[in-house]
Amino acid sequence: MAKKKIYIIDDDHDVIDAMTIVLEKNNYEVAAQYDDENVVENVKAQMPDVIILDVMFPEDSSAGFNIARQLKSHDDLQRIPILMLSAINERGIYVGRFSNKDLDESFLPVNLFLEKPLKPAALLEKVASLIGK
Amino acid sequence: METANIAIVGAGKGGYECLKVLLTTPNVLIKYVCDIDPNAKGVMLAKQHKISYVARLSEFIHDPEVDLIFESTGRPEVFEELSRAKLPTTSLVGSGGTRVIFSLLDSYNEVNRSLRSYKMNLERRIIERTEELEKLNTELSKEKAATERLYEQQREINEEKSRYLIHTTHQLKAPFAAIHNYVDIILDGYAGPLAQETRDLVLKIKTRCELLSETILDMLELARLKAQDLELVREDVDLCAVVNDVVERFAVSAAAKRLLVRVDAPKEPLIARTVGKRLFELLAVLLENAVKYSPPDGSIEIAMKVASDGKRVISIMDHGIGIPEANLGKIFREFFRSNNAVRFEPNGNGLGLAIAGEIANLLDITIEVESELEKGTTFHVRI
Repeated sequence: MAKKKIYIIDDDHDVIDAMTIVLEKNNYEVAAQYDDENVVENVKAQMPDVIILDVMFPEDSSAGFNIARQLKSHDDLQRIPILMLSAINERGIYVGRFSNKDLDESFLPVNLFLEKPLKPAALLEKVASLIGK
Repeated sequence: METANIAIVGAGKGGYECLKVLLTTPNVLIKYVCDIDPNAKGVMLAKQHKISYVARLSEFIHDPEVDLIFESTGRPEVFEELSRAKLPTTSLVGSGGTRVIFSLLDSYNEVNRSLRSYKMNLERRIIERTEELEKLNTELSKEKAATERLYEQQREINEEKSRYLIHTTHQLKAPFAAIHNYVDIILDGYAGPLAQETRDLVLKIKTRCELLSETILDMLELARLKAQDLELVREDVDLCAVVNDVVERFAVSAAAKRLLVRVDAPKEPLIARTVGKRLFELLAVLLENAVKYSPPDGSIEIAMKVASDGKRVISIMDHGIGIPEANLGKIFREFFRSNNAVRFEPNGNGLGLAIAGEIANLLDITIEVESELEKGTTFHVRI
């Protein structure tokens, strides 16, 4: 069986490295980008099974929200599930941890949230649940 | 009203008075003043006002324009002569009538003068008041503009503060999250098997990481509460539901110490107008402390009631280590922890009650505390 591909979009190298270690040991293929540029093109080139997306990027503290909306507005990309990292709300202010109760298609079209700091077991469980869908 | 043409006969004291009154009476034209004496007081006044002076009756008695003659000499022969000689279209008033008329006219003129001066006064006062009001208005507009400027500056400062907080959050949290990630990966064996001693040490790192993460979040929360950078939408909140949520949140940590959490709730919903989410945070701090500072196998009681003043009161009672009396006034200070608390539970940052206190401030809630060392602590939250 071909390896499932995970595409990570995060500005923190260490976060990406840590997730890569965990995912590769668990038989996933991992690709990543470290900024919020040309995301749609990159995702189209990779066509991953799951996207892991951070919220805050250096130039835009809510870039992740826009990226999620962009990805979901493309017919050929919208079926790719998005796992969103972090715990910052759209107004840019920490409001407590996101929970899956906060999922709202129109406000924030992502499929699941994953809290930082990441727990390897939680990461694997959520990725698996998104692929199983 | 048509103008009446008048002749005054006799310019002595009586005629002079007539003339004075008539000069200030509207719709009256004094055509003649008649007296034998060219130096009579009335004649002098007539000349000042360019009124025709005549010495004899015959000089005006046939003038058809004269409507009315006032006889003010008081001499019967003059009145008789006037009656005889005047044209039928001219009316004649004798000296008795003249005195009555002029005293009436005088009063009328006096009243008129008072009215006029009153009116002028009034107009002057209206003008003055209008000017004062305009001045006041201008000052108010200036003040309003200044207030708006201040408000705008305040808003900008608040926005700047918020931006600062976001970036602080990210700057503090991100590196920390990375360290934490690696610790978890090591503990999960991704970097190879761990010797027990190594595992114990890495676990200590992990514990401190978790504590520091909590502290960072708590500090930010406290900063936001202090900056009042929060949306506070008050709603009718069922306090029983909030208490149940809080109890559920700490169910696992309470069970870990085999603590029994008893809730004495009324059967009916207990409604209060407040911000449910913030109240939850406040109660969460209190229950977390109750769990943390209780010895294992104990119990925690939560009671709810309506006080005599209508306030809703939630009481959280533990049977834990208690707070030294001398410290009761300090527990809401940031980072303050009592020695007995640190001895009993080294892990803690002293921010929980500071956060609870700030929330209470924002929501007009009062928190009362009773405590006895080694016996336990009760917090009463009055909403």
